[in-house]
Amino acid sequence: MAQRFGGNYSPTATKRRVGGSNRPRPVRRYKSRTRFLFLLTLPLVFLALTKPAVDMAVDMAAVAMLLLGFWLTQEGLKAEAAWAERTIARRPALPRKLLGSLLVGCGISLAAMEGLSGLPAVVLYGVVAGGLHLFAFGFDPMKDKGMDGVDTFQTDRVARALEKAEAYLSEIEGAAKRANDRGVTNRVNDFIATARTMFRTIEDDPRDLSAARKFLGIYLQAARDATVKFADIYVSNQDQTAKADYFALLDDLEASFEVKREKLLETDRNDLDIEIEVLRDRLKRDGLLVNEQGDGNL
Amino acid sequence: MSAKGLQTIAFLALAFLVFMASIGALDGRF
Repeated sequence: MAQRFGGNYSPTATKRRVGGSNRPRPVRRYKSRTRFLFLLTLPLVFLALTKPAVDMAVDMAAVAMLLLGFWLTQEGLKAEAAWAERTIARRPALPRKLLGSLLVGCGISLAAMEGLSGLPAVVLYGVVAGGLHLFAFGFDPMKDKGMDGVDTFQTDRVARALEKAEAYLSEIEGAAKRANDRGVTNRVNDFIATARTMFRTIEDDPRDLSAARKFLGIYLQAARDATVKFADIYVSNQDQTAKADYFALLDDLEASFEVKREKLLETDRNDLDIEIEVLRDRLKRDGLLVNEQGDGNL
Repeated sequence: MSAKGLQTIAFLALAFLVFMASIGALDGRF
């Protein structure tokens, strides 16, 4: 998306916060290729309109299949990116890219069809198109990742809670865009990144969910309401005090998110300490501990 | 050639095929 020029040394520069640039940004690269394919399909619509009824119907069906195929591919790539980003992830329920390549193959076959003659060649076109699609976009992730010893019931609960929280985040993002101010958008994006870091922490250890539920629900909901109200005010009169107040609110929220995340990690560390303690005792009992004094020299 | 390069070539070939099909250049060419 186009952005107005601006940087650290521009008059309107907002100070970039430490660590802000190192956070992972959502991957958007996959969209351009499927969009390009969408565009390439369009001439077929106009071509179909010049043909007799049956041929037109076949070509329109081909267009529908191709578009559906490309859309599924795009969704599949999105799902793959989400799968790759997480440390614990279940494989996508529907192998979207695979279905996409099947549909694209069928679509190309239909588009190349002229009556029923030359059927083998038509099938060949389809197979080649499907194969190329598979090669270009790859297979879907077919394996669960990091799911060993993980309670699926718990992870489902976490996934549901995080889905709701993500919905709040996208509402916040949308409302902030409405304010039409680059500083606000950047600040809100930073806040969203902080919230997502916490989401990943909860995902890594689903037991954190009950401790962090307030953060995923009430706080984010309040942040959304505040953002909506702020955007309303800011759009009408560019009120700078409102902006400062809103930024202060985001600062507070962000700080509390960070503190909570630290706390969650600390409980994880406590669990680890207990595990280490137990193992160390056991080794000592079995006479296998070489260096009893040294910490960490297990 | 890297896997990424091959993927790009496959993508371009697919795009070419889609384009040819969509302008009707594949119709009746058997």
